[in-house]
Amino acid sequence: MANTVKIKINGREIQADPSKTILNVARENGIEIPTLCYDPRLPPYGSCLVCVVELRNQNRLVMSCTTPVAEGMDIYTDSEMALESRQKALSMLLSNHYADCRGPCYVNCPANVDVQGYLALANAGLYYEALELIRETNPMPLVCGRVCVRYCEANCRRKDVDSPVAVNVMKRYVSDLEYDRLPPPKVTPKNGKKVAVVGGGPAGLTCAYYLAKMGYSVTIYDKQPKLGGMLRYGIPEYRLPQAILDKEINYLLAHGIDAKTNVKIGEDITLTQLRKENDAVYVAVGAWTSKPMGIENEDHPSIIPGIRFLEQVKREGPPKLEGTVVVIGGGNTAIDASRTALRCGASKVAILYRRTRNEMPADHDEIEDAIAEGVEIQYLVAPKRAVVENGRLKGIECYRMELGEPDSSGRRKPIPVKGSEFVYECNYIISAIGQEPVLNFAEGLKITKWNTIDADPETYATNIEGIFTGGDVYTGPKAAIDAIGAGRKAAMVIDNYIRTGKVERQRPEFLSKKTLLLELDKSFFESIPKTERTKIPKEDPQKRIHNFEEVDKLITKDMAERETLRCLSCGCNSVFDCDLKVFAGEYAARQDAYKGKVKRFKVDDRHPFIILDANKCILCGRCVRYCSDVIGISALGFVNRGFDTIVKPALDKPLQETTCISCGNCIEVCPTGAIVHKVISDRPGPYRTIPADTVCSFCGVGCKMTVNHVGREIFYINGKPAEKYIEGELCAKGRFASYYFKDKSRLYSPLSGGTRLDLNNAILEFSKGLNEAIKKYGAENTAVVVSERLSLEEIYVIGSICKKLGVRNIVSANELYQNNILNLKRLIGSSTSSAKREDIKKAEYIVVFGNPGTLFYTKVLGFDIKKAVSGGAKLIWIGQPSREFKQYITKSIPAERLTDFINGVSKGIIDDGKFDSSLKSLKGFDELSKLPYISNENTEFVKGLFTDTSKKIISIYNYDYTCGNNFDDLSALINLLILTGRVKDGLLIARNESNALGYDDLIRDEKLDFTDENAQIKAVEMLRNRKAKVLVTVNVDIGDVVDYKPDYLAVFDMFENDLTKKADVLIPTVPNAESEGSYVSYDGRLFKYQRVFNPLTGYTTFDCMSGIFRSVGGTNQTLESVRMAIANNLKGYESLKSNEPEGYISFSPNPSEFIGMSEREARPAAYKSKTTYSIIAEATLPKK
Amino acid sequence: MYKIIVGMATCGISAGAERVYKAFENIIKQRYDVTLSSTGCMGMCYREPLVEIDDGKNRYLYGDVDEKKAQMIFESHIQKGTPLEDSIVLIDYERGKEEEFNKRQYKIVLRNCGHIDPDSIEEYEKRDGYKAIRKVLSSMTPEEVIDVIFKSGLRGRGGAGFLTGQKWKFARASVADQKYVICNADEGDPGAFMDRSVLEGDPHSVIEGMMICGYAIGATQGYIYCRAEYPLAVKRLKKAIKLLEEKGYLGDNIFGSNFSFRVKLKEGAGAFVCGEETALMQSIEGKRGTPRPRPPYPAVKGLWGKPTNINNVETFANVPWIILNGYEKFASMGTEKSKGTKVFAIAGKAVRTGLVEVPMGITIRDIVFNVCGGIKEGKRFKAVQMGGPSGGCIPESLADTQIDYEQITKTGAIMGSGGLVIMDETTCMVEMARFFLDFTQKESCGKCTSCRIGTLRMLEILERIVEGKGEEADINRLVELGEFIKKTSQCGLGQTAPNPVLTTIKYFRDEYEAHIKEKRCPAHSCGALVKYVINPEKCTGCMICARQCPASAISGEKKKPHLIDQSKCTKCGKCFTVCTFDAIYKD
Repeated sequence: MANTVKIKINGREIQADPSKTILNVARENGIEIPTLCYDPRLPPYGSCLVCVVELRNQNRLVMSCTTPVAEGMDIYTDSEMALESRQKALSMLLSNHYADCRGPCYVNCPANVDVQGYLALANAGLYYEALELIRETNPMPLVCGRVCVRYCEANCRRKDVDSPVAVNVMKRYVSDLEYDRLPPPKVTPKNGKKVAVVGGGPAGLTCAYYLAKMGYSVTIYDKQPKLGGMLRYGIPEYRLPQAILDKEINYLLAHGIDAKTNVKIGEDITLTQLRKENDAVYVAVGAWTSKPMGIENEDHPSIIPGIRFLEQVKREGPPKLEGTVVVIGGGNTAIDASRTALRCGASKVAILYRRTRNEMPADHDEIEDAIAEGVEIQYLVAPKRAVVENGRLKGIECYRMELGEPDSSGRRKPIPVKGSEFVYECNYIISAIGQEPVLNFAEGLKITKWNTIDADPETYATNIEGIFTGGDVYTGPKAAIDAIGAGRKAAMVIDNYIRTGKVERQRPEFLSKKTLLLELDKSFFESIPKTERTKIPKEDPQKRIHNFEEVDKLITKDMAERETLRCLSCGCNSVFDCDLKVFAGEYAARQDAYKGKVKRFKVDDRHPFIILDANKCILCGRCVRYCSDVIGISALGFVNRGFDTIVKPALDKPLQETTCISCGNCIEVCPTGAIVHKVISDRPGPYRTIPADTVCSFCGVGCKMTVNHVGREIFYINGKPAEKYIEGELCAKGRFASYYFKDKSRLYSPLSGGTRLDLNNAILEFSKGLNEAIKKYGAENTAVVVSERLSLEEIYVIGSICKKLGVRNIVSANELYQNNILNLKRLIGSSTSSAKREDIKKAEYIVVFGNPGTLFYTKVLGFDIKKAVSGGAKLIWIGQPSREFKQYITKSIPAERLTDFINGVSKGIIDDGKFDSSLKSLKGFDELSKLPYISNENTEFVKGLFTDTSKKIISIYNYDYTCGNNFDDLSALINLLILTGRVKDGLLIARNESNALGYDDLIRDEKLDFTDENAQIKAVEMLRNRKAKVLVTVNVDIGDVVDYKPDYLAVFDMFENDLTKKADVLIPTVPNAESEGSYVSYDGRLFKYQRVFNPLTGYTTFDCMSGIFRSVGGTNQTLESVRMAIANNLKGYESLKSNEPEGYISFSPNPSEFIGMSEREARPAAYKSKTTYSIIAEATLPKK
Repeated sequence: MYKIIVGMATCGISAGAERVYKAFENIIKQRYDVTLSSTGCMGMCYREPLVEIDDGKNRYLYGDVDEKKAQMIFESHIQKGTPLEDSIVLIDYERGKEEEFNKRQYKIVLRNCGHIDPDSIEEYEKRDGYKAIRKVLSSMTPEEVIDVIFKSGLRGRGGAGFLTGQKWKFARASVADQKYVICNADEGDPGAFMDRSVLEGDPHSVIEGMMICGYAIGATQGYIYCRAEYPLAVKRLKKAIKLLEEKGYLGDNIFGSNFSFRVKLKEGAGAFVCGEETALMQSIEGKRGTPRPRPPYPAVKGLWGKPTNINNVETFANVPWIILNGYEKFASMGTEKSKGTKVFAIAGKAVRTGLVEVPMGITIRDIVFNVCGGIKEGKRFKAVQMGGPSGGCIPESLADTQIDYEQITKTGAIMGSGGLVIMDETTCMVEMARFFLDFTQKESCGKCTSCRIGTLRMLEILERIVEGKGEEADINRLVELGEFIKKTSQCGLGQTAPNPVLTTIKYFRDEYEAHIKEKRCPAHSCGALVKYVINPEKCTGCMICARQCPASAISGEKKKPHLIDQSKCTKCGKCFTVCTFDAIYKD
């Protein structure tokens, strides 16, 4: 390097270019510095303060994104000073970030189940995907779908509208429906480490499952004959059938978990022994003894501890109970015991509870179920003494109670009313006032005063190294979901412990919460229409009390759909790609560290595709700067100053009524959720999506894009990162293509004469029909019109079919509209641009020839130009410039007649003699030199520019846009470039259609011999004169040209249009996201695209075409065989054989002649091309 | 021949100078031996309106003139030849009642203010105006000019104190087809009016300074960025530019040299941060006025991407004087590193307030007690706030600090552009800090996280402290927030915004603690914390306070000491005002 400085980053010496910033030098050297406001495509801004680094020798902090490196800098990117500052900056940003990362359902679920996500998937009908999502963090959905206490529902915001979403009903629905489709369990290869899990309840099972999936050899030890713990022995059959439990446990065990049942810890095996034999031990033995009531005669045999009662029913079958059973307690065990007692034949069952219904800890629905079954509940009653006469239980003497001051649990303390004693006669008493663990095996484990195992609340580590705990034995009796959540968290800690030897707290996920800043806005809830919560169908109480059959029934699909619609989608759409969230977690930022004034705004969802949520905006200004600096639009701007600053569309208009071109790049640059996609779904998720790379098919630029989807549901589309930190741009067409896929007019099944067919029949029908028609009307009266967006492979097969049938009149819709066939290859030796997209960046001058629409279709090419201009290139626009480019144009030359202007310049150059004189011998030179030249400031300028050989110039012309005159313009331009020696590397011909180049090369290739210019011109004439008797169209909406009914019409299309309505045979095609193929971009880049999801029609366009080829007598064609054939025949396409054909088809311009003026013929006026992506165009047009 | 000159700067006008001027106009209608003219600020704002009577021998300055007094002055002094002794504040600007005010001053920047008609090029030229630029153009190379400025030791008077000669050198060294000179006249500190006074009283000295700078660095275009809230200054600058263009003093080939220079006036839209040089340039370019990262510095890449030199009004006003009087004379004044003089706008509790220009090196105590005559009503001097909202306070214990960039910075305050507020024992330092932070918080442009959100959070804490709702940890929170904002903000506004808070915490922590822990304002200034108490020894039982109390919080029998029921008291202060026996005090 010519000019470098010596600096140190984190102690490492680095030679750096002093024109670069600290951030960029660090990144180049693989050192990460976080930032929210910096974007490599924009000048440094310096507002978020997250990128601060310490300059140790100067003892100060600087923003690394704005500070250039300088000699001797001693930079520390992760010093305490920097970390602390980042944490503060993030905490400050969060103090005014009125946003929820997640809904309260997720936040309050001990297992962190993505409730909102699976409800959204279920709403879209993706039940299997919903089940998978649940199982990511909760491996027991069959169980939980039945017995969960549902913290999610208790906290559901829908309750402020009407009632909570019936989350658990949905969980059970998708689990029951899809469980059998889960893949066969896979045993992870063992890593050689062993873990013993004591207790096979939900905590133990979950912990074992996740550890086994990580490769640990796990053995579960359980005292009972079967696994499941309280799930099996504490929950009655009518709530959780054994068969269901077995299914779930067996599925988990099949992941390679050993289970040793009937093994009692402390008796059959000791804890010390287990610890010795394993790398870690997880103790989750539950809480199995009922707490004593502490009343007189408690040890009477007719007084049964509740949990033992339930266990006995499971182990030994239901006992016969006669007479009255009194159950003491108010928890779920009390309810379970009472309902079980009914099913054991008791004639009367009463629950006595010392507080009121409001304080009762049992589940509301369970209480209702018990009452429905005839259980009597007496409130404010507490036992005093069991009345035993002659050794027989006669009843229970009780106090009436009243409620006093709140106790430590927050509930009002019950106090006995003096003299209120009464006797409740009964035959049995079941005590269910609470449970606690049995810890006789503990051997040195520290025990709490509540008789639970003492452990670190973050790591679950006990006082003995390598022994961890969780579930009821640690927390005291809690719900299954608590145990499941604890089991998974423990698995992560144990894994980390075994790998690193360190007991470490797992970093909690950062979650922004609105309620930490402000109370929720009540008016929001009032604005939502009320709906009724789905009631789960239940077995008739009179019937069900006689057996142990499951009480709750499955809901219907309709009910499921309705219920999922009730979700308010509280979480943020950006939850999976929010940098603010990631950094806040990484730097342990606290949202409530700087509490104070918070700005609250109305979410702006007026744009059809883009949602602006100023509540979440952190004012990094990336959207504003990107929109003005790169896109050149300034549709978004800062309004107000200081704390009141807000990013808004100009004049507070709806975004689409500003200068916005709906490219959606603002969504992509937003580091948080302030600008997001409007997801077209009744319930928009979010859920974690699968990114699938493909290529945009809407114009010739060929932008890479990533479709983020689950199953066939597209969540959003974004630009594929071209390189690290740099995101590719997309325009409205690609980014919002999901609207296109989901358009209502999309066609799904083949039709013939109004009858639906399957594909095979449609192929037969089509082949037969076409064959007969050709025989009848003649191949010369047959035309085939195809789209230039078809893949190379599709065009090849269509060409093959035509060849087989003797049809040569093949044109593209574009050519039809142009009214002309452009055979660039014949004229200059190649059909492609001689410059490449990257060359724009390197050009000193970019000269655009044409009228305003020139870059309208190829927007991203426009962005490239703007970026190049921002980087120092000069933009010269010959023709009427587009308003969007005005601020970028160095010189605007209004040439009304572009052809004449360019020819004039060429003539001027010839007059001056400033060209390679050997060109004089080329054919067409004389004609060129006879043209008139008018000298004026503009022609002189262009002449001077193009003859200055030291200047690097890229000339850009969009061939497809300017119908009518384009051929003349383009040939004049090419002549000028030949004359100035620039044709070899200075021409970019923009094309509107994604495979226009590939089509040009393939269709007229001499060796493949599908068609030729003459046949093509004939096709155009035939169609224009309504003479084509047989017509086949593929993905072209040309109803405006073909405004008659040919004698035989076969249409292949994705959407309904004028032609599809009158087709004899109609076969739906699919977008490229649903298939695979190859394209050539406008600058000659050859690439393959992959399918994102399976075709909604059930087949790809290629499959369909190759089927037709077979049925007309052709050979079997596969993608590979077609690629091979193209590669072997077309020069420049050799790389299509390889798996990664990314590269340029070679261009060897061969200017053996100037394009003669004789090529100019009087042609009728061309049609105005119809846009096929009208959905998008309409949505983005200003609505008046 | 008598000359009557009325001080007609904004300070004068607001005190009634226009009415006085009109009164004189009416009186002298018929007389041809008396001329009437106006001038800029004479500095003694506390005695405005000021009128000078020049009888050709002596110059008498009358203070506190109103229409009636104008009549009396005219009758006695001009008609009878007897000066109205009682109303004269100064004779020949040397002797008289207010001589102490001028004694320690030395006027370079203000050399013409109050002495010339600012709208007259001739009057400016009579006092050596445009001699410096003529000298420069006829006999000095740009390098020589820069050398003189460099050697004079002149430092940027906008506050940062960067060596002006050095700055010019950088701008000169940048090669470009176009360079710019910008005069920063966006004086925005509350209570500061140095630049305004110069612009209103002597606009030509500033323009001449810009021309010299333009010649020195190789710029042909100047901009004056003047805040629109200074309508008089804007009017005078516009007029000055117009006259200069007509006269050919601005334009091509000035004074027959090769040097061409033009000046445009750009009015600011009222954002305080546009006084920051990069934001100022953004604003001239028509963009949102927010600072941008430095480097690149303006000297390399400034306005419209071209090398640009920005100085403030006072700096430019010094330049012609230095050229004419030599750098040695300038450098002979002041301390080792701070040369020349400094203009201060004095406000607050001093006896004499107004505009002063003192040599560098004078102590704060000297300014307070000698120039300004000490504290009003004999109260105790507590502190001065220097540098406005970006500055900090200097307590009485450090009053012997010299006026010198480095020494002032050492106290935690800054030299600033020259705002100086003198505070006595009745000023609550917490409230003072809150006042200034309220200003800067509202003026934050909103770009940097720390300034946009941090200053608001600090303000919220200060607000609750003065309301008696402060928490123990609040002082530490303020210090922590303040340090963070200073360390991380991109521009001067954010970097200095916490200064008033941090310096008051440094020197008056006990006041903060009293507010928080004892819910008491030691200065008895914070409304929510004041307790009104009746001194039974002084109370005569006149019952006036009880009758006037709107909350009926005062009870007592006639002629016996009264009592205020604190639970009912709304702290309106009515009783305190109406008590004629000094029996009610604030606790």
